[in-house]
Amino acid sequence: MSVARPARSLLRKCVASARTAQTQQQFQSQSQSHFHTSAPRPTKRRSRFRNVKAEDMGLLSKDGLDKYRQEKFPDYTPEELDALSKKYTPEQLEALKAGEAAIDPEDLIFQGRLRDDPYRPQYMEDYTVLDPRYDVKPEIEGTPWEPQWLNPSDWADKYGSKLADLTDKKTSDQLTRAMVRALRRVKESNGEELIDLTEEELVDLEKDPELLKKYLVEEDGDDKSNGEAVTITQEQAMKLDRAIDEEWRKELSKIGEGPDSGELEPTNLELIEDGPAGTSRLHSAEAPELGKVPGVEGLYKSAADPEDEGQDDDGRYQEIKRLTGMSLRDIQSIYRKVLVTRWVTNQTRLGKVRSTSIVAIAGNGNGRLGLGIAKSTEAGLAAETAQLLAIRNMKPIRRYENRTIYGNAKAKVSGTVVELFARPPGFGLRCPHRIFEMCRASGIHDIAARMPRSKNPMNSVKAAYEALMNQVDPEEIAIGRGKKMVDVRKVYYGGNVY
Amino acid sequence: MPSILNIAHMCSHLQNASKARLGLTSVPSTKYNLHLALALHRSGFFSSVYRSPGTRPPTPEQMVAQVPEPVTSATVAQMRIWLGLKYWDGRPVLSKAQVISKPSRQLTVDVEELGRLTRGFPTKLKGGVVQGLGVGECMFVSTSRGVLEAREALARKVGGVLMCRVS
Repeated sequence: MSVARPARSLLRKCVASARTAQTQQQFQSQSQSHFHTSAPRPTKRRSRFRNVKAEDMGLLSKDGLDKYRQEKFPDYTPEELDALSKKYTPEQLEALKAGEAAIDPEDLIFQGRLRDDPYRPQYMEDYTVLDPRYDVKPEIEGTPWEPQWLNPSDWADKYGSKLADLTDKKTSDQLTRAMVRALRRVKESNGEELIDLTEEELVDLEKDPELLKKYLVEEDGDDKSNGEAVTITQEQAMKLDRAIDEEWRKELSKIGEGPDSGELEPTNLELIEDGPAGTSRLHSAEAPELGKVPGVEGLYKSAADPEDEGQDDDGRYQEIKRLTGMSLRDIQSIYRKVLVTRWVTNQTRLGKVRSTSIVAIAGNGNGRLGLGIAKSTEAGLAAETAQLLAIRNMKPIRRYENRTIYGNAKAKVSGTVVELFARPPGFGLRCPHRIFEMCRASGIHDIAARMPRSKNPMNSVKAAYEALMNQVDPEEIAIGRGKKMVDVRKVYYGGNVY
Repeated sequence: MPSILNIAHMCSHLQNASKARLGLTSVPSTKYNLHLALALHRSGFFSSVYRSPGTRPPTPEQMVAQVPEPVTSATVAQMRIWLGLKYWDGRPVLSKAQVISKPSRQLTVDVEELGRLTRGFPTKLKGGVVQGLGVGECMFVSTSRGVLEAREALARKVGGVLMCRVS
């Protein structure tokens, strides 16, 4: 607003209130000043597009509506009804018809919106499955598990009876064990043929006294046949009884004075075993007694493969299993080792991003070696990725007599030169430690190595790998030159080398 | 005694030619070069050795069918030795050729030292230590019986001047 503008215009409205209504209206529409400097909007805004009404398009006419309804919401034809009656029971059909009748197509036409855009869902939703993203969780049927708050005397009774049961069981177990021990000792010393339990059976019995019942039952059944097969004289029986009695007394006295009388108390495990969920409650935070939540049951699948025998529950090895076609057991049996760890930094405008770079090797100890390089902000992740990459990259390495390399090999990566030399049997791995690890992983047993120049860890590993991969092949040389090449060592020892 | 320098030139030329993957190359026509070329041919490094004027390379048919034209005093200046290089499995059969002796230091071996060298052991000669032969390596010796491969020389029980090692 210009300062130079007279105050009249500001106050005009108020001043004008004294005039007649007609003039006031005229006045306002003519020139009403604004309190801001921006250009005034045009009096009436018009749409850039011509407004086409449904009425004008003939959509709301009786014929148009009928046509649309016939097209989108047709009634069932007699053939369709026939087909439905084949699929559904009469009651279901009744319900379907009732459902159809409950919804007026007019409502769907005027209030609903039938999507015909390219992004409309392509599937049919029949609402038979609960989707936890959209559906309200159903009420869980069933009664919650009520804790029992016993009064002290009831609790004491229950606890006492439980303990008494346990003690009974323990005592009988202990006595059975003692009996078995006694029997065994008798059997070892004399009367071997008189006790018809074998040594293994006695050992089993001592481990698990419950088995005694089984043997007792069996004995009852086979009583006659046994009696016919083995006839014991009176004297032998007396002798046997006496021996068993003696041993039995010894065992009893041992139990009486033994230090393990405290064994009769119930352990924690036994107390938990009595609980509603048994021993599984020990190892799990879940409450199995509540059951699965019905709405999500079966919707969450773990990546675990039953072939893995529970070794890969978090699915870390799934990808490499798919890529290599090896079983988890084979993959895990591959020797892996991290050889180089570097802490590297990426300088960004947000600051330094530190990550760990890992070089790992993998070998089956029998002529295959792989190199894997991975980087991550998480050290553990980088190491694992590098090892899995190394397994994926495993390639065969030529080995002379499965113990050393063919001739001498040399490779250079940057300033690092690695020279490998074949050596005779029993020489061992006399080489720098990273090359030692690589040889061990690939099953090379005799080698000498030299790194005359830079000893950079990463480049030395890379160069050693390259040297191992680029060994000379005598057969290729022989073909190339058209000459016969003979392994003199093999000839000398008459082929008695590998 | 012919100059070993020509052999040095030939060795480096052969290395360059095999790196360039040439099928046919030529070296100056000297007796020493020719003898070495023939020894290399015996060892299987060349597919062909042919002497003809250096104005244009000989065709394969010519090398197979025609006897090389005799060297006369009129043509001797144009003569070259044409060597057919071999490749197998994408790699040159002859990839490395290094001279051992040099004009300022001739290395000679006797039979015993030659035996050690061919068995792969480094051997101390009068002029210095020479590394033994590795897998697929050949060493050429200039002897009184001509230029021979180290194993040939050993079989004939002759020593001589170490010329070059080729692999």
